[in-house]
Amino acid sequence: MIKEIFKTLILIAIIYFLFIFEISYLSFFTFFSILFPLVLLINVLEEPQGRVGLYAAFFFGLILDIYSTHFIGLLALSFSISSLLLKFILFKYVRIPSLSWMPKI
Amino acid sequence: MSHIHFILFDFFVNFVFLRGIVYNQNMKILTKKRITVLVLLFFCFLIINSFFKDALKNFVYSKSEILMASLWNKGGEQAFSSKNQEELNKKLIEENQKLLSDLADFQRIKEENDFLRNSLELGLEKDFDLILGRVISKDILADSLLVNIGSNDGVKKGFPVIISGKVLLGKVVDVYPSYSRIILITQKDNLIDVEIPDSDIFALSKGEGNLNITLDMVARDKELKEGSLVVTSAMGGNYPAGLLMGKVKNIKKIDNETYQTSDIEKVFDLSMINNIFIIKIAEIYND
Repeated sequence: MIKEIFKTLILIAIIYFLFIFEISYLSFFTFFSILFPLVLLINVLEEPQGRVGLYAAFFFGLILDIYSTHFIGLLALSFSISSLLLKFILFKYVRIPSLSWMPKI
Repeated sequence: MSHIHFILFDFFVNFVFLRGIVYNQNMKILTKKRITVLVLLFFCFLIINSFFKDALKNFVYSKSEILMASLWNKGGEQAFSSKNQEELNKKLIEENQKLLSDLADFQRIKEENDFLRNSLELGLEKDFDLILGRVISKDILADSLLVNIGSNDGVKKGFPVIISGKVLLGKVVDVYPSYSRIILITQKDNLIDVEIPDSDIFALSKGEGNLNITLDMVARDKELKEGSLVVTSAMGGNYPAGLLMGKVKNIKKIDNETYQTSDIEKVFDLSMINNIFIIKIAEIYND
């Protein structure tokens, strides 16, 4: 339990500092977000029952809400629900082949 | 041959398994617990938005202001220095030559204007009442900036925002006690009444997002010239007249369209914006 709380706190800190970096320093160089694909990738790559992707989506949405003109919680909840739906779709309908059949070098 | 068969069989077996791991098909992702937590969070956010939204945002901004402001300055400096200096110098020399020729004309007009004002006993227009602020960050979802002045400094929603040289940047959309959020003129669907003084044309400027802006609703019979200056018009009532917005570029006149359009080349560069001025205006009509 303590380990999980610790992991979540580290995740929040990473997302927060990456977000601050993105809205202040990177806004001169690119229009595209680096955090959005990162959160999406975590959700796609982790196993369906994992919670890291869900937490990442929630905190990324929450920080986006706070640092924009939206209502607080709008994107946080939207991203969380999207994360759950994505995991559900990936689990139920998507089959990704493993590469275990490839000859080992 | 049997080796290939083995590989194909192995591939097929792995294909039906999820990422090489056999998951229990009864495993649930949308559990009751998760749905309950989401519903509870929804009500928590409703309460926060109703009572503590501004205070919470102000608190979070105040904690990250120093870090964001220093990163903004560094990013701006680096972005400016990485641009092609030679090309920029060439462009500035060309503009300088044009401005010098314009200056001669304006001096003559100023003398005429002063003479007429004195003759008609008109006072000079009152200067703007300005509040100085500093940019901290840019929103990643929209063309909006966060600045370090808020309602404690007298900022109100709808106040226009300019930078030096009377260049219009946008307007205030959200005000917190110590911070404000401004949307840029390039924000998507941000409409502003504008005029082109040298052709006597009144039109609308329309934000396209991603720091792009276009000129719209220009009557077909009017002659639009490349490079003409676009300034704000007093017709909309939200902005003082005469604030510089940009130059006309890429005129598009399509045969079966009622109006002609063009792009507006904006005169501000985000990498050079550190300080902004918020104009205190008496009345805001359309906000």
